Amino acid sequence: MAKQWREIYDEWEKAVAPGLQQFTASDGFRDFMAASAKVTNALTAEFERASRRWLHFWNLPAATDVRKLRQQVAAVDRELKGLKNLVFEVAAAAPDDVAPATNGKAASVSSKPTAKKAPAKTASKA
Amino acid sequence: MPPSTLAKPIPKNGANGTAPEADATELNLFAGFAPFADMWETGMRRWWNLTRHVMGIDRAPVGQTPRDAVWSNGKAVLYRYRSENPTVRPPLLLVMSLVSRSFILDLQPGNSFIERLVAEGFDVFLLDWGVPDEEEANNTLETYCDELLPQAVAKVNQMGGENGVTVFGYCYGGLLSLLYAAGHPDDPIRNLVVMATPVDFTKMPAAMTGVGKGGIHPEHLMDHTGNVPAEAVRASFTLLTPTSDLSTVMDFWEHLDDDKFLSSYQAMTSWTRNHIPFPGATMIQTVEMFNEGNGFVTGDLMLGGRKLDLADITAPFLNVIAERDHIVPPESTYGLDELVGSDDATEMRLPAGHVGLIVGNGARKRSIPSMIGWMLEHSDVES
Repeated sequence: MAKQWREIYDEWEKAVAPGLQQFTASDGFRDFMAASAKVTNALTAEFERASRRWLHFWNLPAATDVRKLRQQVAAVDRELKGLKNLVFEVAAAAPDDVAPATNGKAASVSSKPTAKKAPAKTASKA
Repeated sequence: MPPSTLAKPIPKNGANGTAPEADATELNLFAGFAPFADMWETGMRRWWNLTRHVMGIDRAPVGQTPRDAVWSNGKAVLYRYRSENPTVRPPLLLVMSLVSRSFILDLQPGNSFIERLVAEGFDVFLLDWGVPDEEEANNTLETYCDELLPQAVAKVNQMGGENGVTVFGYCYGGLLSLLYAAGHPDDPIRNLVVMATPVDFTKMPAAMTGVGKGGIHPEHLMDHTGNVPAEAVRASFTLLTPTSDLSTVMDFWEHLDDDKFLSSYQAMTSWTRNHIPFPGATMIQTVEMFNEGNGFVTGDLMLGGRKLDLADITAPFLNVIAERDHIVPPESTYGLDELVGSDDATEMRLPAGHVGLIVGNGARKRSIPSMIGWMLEHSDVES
């Protein structure tokens, strides 16, 4: 008795799920999702533009201003991380009798991009 | 809510030392109430479990195996799991996917892949990528495969006694591990294991690879942080099985009086409903290189401006395939052992789902022992 509702649900699910899965995997659904994403993005952008104009009129910061600041902070963070990696690499490559350089001058010793550089190899492959 | 004492089993025959006739009268009096007592007890337990679930009281804890953070770079953190006496060398580095939280590998005590590995004597490390925000939006595959992974492997190798490292990638973490291993053939990779890792993207479900086709561009999915938000990631999984969320609720309602079920349910849903954003730049690269280019199969793999070849992977290799995986279907992962250059390459097919490989009874009995067996065979075990 208690499980009757479950049996009914399972029957319904068994009947409906394959069709739904087929639908969500179809090109039509994908096109619909693409269109709705575009419309949503356009509406959001329009609303943000209008609200920003209004808030700026009253000399108030808008969410987009905060967002811009966050992006700038993130960019600075990334730069710092890159510099930190560079300093460690320079320190690791330096001879043992040379103290690791951490000041600004030493950090500018190399301008090699760090992103593509592999770290020092420490052991041979098995 | 303590269980009601009314529902004690009523003996069918007389209790010890009493006359059956005397008990029979008593039994007749209470026997009629037994079903109601059961219903009362079940109902109260359901009510209590529902209350504590909704109020968040006494939620099932996850990721309980003790560990220490031993290295970090940005939000990526390398953890080492505490072990009294690791007997297996080399150390094992688990590389997590970019779309989900790492505690799935250490779900609950008694239902934890990592706990089991530690118990078997492995020196276990986990590379957790963290939750990306604006800072990680520009992270590319190079960031992960040319910077973070090599650094983490070097650290694990150094801490593990310079014996090399067994790299173990799960799902997208397997994809990253493959790119890293192919791009850094001189790194100390002793063994490479990938589990539920997509290889042939033409055989992946449309909901996973639909981006880049039919007018959906990665940029359409990104939010103000420049990443694909966690909700969009979750939605793509939900689209694979649109009724799964409802079925989960039904399971919850059906087994609400079962404390053990509730604990597992809470642990699992805290994982399935808490995806993490996908870094925007990596998304664009993934779409170009894999969704559109099917790089692993066509061999058109580029990393940091150089061409990669999976044949450069020569370490012993294991590809673990979940035969009931609906996220990364088995047919999309077959044949990887043929693509790598390892002489010792194995394809292991296991009767499990994407998560069932490492979570649940099937994992405990079949999948995990099989994987551990392969790794032990390819490691040095101190007696």
